[in-house]
Amino acid sequence: MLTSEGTMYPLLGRLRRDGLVQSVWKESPTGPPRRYYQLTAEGQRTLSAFRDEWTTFRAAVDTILETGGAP
Amino acid sequence: VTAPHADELIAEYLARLETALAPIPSARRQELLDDVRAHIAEARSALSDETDADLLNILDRLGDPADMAADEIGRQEPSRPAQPPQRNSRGLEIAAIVLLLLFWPIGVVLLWISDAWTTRDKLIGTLVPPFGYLGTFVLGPLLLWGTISTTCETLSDGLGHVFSSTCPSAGSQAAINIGLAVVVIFYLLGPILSAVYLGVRLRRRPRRPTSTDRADPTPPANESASPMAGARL
Repeated sequence: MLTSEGTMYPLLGRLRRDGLVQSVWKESPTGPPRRYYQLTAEGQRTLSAFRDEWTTFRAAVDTILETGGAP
Repeated sequence: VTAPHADELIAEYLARLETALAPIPSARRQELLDDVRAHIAEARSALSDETDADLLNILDRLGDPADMAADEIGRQEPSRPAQPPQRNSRGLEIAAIVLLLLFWPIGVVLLWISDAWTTRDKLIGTLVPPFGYLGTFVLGPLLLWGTISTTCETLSDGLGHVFSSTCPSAGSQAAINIGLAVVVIFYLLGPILSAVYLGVRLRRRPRRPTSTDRADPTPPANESASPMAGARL
């Protein structure tokens, strides 16, 4: 699990190295410049593949918990 | 209003992070430090009146620098050290594709030496067309000459009565022309098409599994696509 906000940056860095996201620095109207992240085309594909996989996975867990948890 | 000890607190946190990140390549280390600096600055900009306690809360939520470093170091791509030899063998593949176009015999040898392509890819690279452009310039003219030289002779009595003719009928002449066009196109475009095909197949698998990859039970690509990795998010 993510235990702290800081561990988000290694994760984002890895997504960037894998070519799943790209980032740009932009001026912020209220404070210091911000780094904005955007999914790449490959990131979009990976996300939609993951969505499918996740749906299956969630359904499987739901099934197990409902049937397994009922007396 | 700035917190009284803001600069010290932040500098101390960043110093601890920098120490923890020591094993990481310096470019990546700087990047992470920049991210964290920006994170802190962003959090501070939301406060109109900050105290030392606010700042300590911001740093607390960021977490222990050691955790962040462990996260980064634990996920260093294991294939990094294996990259230089890989780049060399990529040279072999490029040479193979180029030589298939320029000097087919050596190109074919390189094609089959490389392990970047499947056998099917290699067969396509070898046979589309056979002998590549060598084939185009040697076999092509032979084929053309063979077809054209089958000129026809017609014996007739001069009054329109044909005794015998070796001329092909209009239909079969058309078939020959189409066949000829196919052969010409195959020999002219074939080498380029198969070179493009091999290049595409090469790009599809940018990273061949190396021994270090195989030793790693959770390759990064699979990890990000597996439901369990998603559960972390």
